[in-house]
Amino acid sequence: MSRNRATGSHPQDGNLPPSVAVSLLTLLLPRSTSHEALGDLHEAFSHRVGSAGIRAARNWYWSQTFRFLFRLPLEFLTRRFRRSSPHGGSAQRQPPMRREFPMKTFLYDIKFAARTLLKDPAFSLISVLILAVGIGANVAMFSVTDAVLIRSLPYPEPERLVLGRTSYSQGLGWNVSAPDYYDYRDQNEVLESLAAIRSFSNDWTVTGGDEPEKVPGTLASVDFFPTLGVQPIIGRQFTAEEAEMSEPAVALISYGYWQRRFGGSPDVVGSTLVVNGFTSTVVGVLPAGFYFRHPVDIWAPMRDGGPHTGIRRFHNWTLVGRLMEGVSLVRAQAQIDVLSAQLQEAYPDSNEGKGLHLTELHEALTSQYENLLFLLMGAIGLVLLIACGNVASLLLARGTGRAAELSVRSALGASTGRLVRQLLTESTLLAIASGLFGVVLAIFFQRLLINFMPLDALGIREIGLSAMMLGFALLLSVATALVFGVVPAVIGANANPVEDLKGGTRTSAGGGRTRLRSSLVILQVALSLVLLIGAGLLIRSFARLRAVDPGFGTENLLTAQVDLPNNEYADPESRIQFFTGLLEEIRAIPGVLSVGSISMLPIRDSYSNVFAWDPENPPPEGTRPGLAEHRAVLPGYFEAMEIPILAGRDVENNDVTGSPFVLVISETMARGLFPDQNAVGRQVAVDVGGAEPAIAEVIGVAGDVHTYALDQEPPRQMYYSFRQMPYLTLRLAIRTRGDAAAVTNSVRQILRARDPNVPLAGVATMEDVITRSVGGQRVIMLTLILFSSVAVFLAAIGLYSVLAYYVAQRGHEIGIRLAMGASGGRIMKLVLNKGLILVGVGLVVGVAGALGATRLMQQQLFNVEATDPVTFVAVCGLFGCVAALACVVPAFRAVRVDPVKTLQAE
Amino acid sequence: MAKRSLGEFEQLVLLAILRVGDGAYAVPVINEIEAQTGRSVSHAAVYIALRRLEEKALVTSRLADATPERGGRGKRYYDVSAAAREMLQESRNALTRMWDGLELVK
Repeated sequence: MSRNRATGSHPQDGNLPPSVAVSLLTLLLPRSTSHEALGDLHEAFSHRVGSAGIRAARNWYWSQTFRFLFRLPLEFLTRRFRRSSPHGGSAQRQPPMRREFPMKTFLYDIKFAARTLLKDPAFSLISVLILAVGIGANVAMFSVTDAVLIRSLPYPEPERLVLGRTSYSQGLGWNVSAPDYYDYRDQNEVLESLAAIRSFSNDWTVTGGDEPEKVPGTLASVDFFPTLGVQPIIGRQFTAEEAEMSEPAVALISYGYWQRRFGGSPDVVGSTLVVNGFTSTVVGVLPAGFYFRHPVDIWAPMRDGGPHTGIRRFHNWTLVGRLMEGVSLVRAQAQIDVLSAQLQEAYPDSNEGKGLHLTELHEALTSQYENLLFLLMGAIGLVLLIACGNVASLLLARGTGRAAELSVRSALGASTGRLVRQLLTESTLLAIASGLFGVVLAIFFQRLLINFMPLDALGIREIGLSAMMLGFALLLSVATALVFGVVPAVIGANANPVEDLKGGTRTSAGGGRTRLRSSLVILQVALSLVLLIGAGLLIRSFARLRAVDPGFGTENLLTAQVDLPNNEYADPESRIQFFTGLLEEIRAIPGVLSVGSISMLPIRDSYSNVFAWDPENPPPEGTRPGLAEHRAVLPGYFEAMEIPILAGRDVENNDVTGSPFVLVISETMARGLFPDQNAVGRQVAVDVGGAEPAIAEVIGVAGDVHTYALDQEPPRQMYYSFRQMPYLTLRLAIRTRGDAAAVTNSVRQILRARDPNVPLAGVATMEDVITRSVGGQRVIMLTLILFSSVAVFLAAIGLYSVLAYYVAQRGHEIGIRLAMGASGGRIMKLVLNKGLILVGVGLVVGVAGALGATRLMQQQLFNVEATDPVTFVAVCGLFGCVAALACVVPAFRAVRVDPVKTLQAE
Repeated sequence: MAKRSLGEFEQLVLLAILRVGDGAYAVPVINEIEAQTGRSVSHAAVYIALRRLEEKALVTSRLADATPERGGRGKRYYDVSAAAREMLQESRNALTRMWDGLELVK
């Protein structure tokens, strides 16, 4: 049973009833009979699929489920009630009165509470709305956290899956070299299997259809899918023989690609795809929703002697292993360490200080999200607390109006406990209604969050409703009811009948209540300030991030990718001719200022680094030389990208094979290798994979570029001449006069005219590329802005209602003061003072809280301290403005009190 | 103890079990009611009615084997008890007597 959680109710399930509905029913139906009831539904469902189609059948199944949802609890309640009632018709001795009493009053309490709440629909509706938003957001957040951190991976026996990463003295690297992989795989006795998959996916060119298309593809060892425990839904796995170079090329394809390219035809097995110019046979289709770290549509087998398998120094593979039954991670690691020591001894050049570190796969994949998820969980929890504060405040205000009613009941003999229970039943009912509504909202929020959050590594695209989630909603609702309901209930029930019945309209009672509401407002102000400061810090951090100069000009720059099929462009000279000709033609498009071309563009593309050092000053024995990013460029790249050449020259057309091997290096690299010296003319040793390093001459020094991301320092970077390193793939950087995207069609036409089998892929303006690269940070910022806006809004409402209530309560006094000649200004000051004290105390508490809380989010901040004073001051100022608005309205009302009317009312 | 009588839906369920005969379980029972009355019946309603009837000893049941079309789940066969048959007959007689001589729709 390896139901993939990411698929939820995907059509892949074929003719099975909706799994969410089935699990709901399993949960709800009594254990003794759920089996046959589900069987009956399943049978009727199958018939319906035949007669009305899968869609109608699924709808039918859901409607049946809802009927169960509705009828079973009712049935359960009436049954309980009947059983405990003396007229239940049971032959047994009647139960004693005592036992029957609580149930009856309980039902009575519920009925009465429902009636009371319906009598005041505005209050009930607002409370339910406020709480539902809070509960819904929390439930959604919980479900995402649950799916990411708690639920296990969608593979059989996931606890036995481990991730193998290379360990160096400096830390961990995700990638392992193929020769190391083979040795670990063949020599260990602790892993049932050890599989490898390329660390990146590449865009492969698939031809043979109407248009050539780019499809993400990757290489995986033949035992990769069996190790995870994933079976193709159609066709077969790779066979062991298919790891040999001599075998014909085969491929497994994703469910999505099967649908798109083959229309989901079951005859897909045996069809052929022309991938990068080579024909390969489709042997199987993987289940829908299968995902491992990167979106991939075509998997080809990793082959012995194939690409990226030869060199022990080059780390290109991610390892996944399955522990043997009964072998612990610790024991497995111990044996792997022994192997690592042997490898170090056998290959000191490449393996000095290198090992393999095993981690439980789930932990390894999720640890990067932990901090973020807990941060958002905390923030959303605060929003719910503020919502609780608000509703409690509403309940307290309402309690004042109900004092008379409660006093009458108390005077007639109702005990305090009885009244507390009555009031608590009301809040519980409110909370449960909110919880129900909240779950509906949660489904919506959940979708929002998944679209929002960068959960790529896990491939979570759908979570759906889970029993866990419903349970959490229920728990949260009850907890919420207690949080916002207890204090108002106790205060309400302790009303003093004598005072309340006697004191007509001039209620001076409820001083405690007012104080309590004031402290609630302070709490709300403080909590929302914490959130707002959190959001403020993220905004500032994001602004800093966007202000980072990437090292090249981003405006009016179009980027795209051109891959040549290997079979037709096996001759390097043909590639050089193709690309130089292409660039020439693009340069001639009106509106194009300059064109550059490089094997991998910064920020947009993945990265690749090799060892590089100063041959006159080699790293000491036993230490590793530094890594440098390497790229190949055609002349004009630096000009088009607006990267300054600080010394020396750009690569030129005569830097060809046969002439000296040349390099342009970045400023950081120049400073690293040749401190305080002129780098131009010096030599650099580059590990290009051979037994001996290649020696290159530095011809120029270029400005630094943020190659990986804006928030990462520019790495050491070196540029080859493309004519000396003629790859099959080049990226274009086209600088235009106006809108960059406008030249796309012309470029496409030029390319098609040159070779119709070469697609133009990944067209995007550099500005879009950069916006996308900070998408994750942007989302976190927006989420927290959203949360804190809700919080501030709620706090402002809380503040407003307390002040409005204060004005209403003091209407009498204000009326007298006005009648005695007090000026409007004085009255306003009275009310404003009251409000500002609340806000002031709230701000002080909030700042103190924020100083503690924001420290937890330092990891999410870029170049901003968690205690950044500018943010703190600005946020307090902003909050002060909002608070002032909330105070001014009631203050104006106070001034408009008509003394005659107020006094007449007495 | 007052004489118990059957609700309308209970009667429909009992009669459907009798009409289906040997091997009556929920699915054919529902189909029979829907076919004869033309109204749609939810699984939940029938399920609850059967549970009640069984508690009142008006039906008896036994479990049977699973079939693949049921997602590998077993089924429960129902039989109408003698007491229920008697009650059904009584209810029919009562109605017949009440209807005697009445014609509401031409």
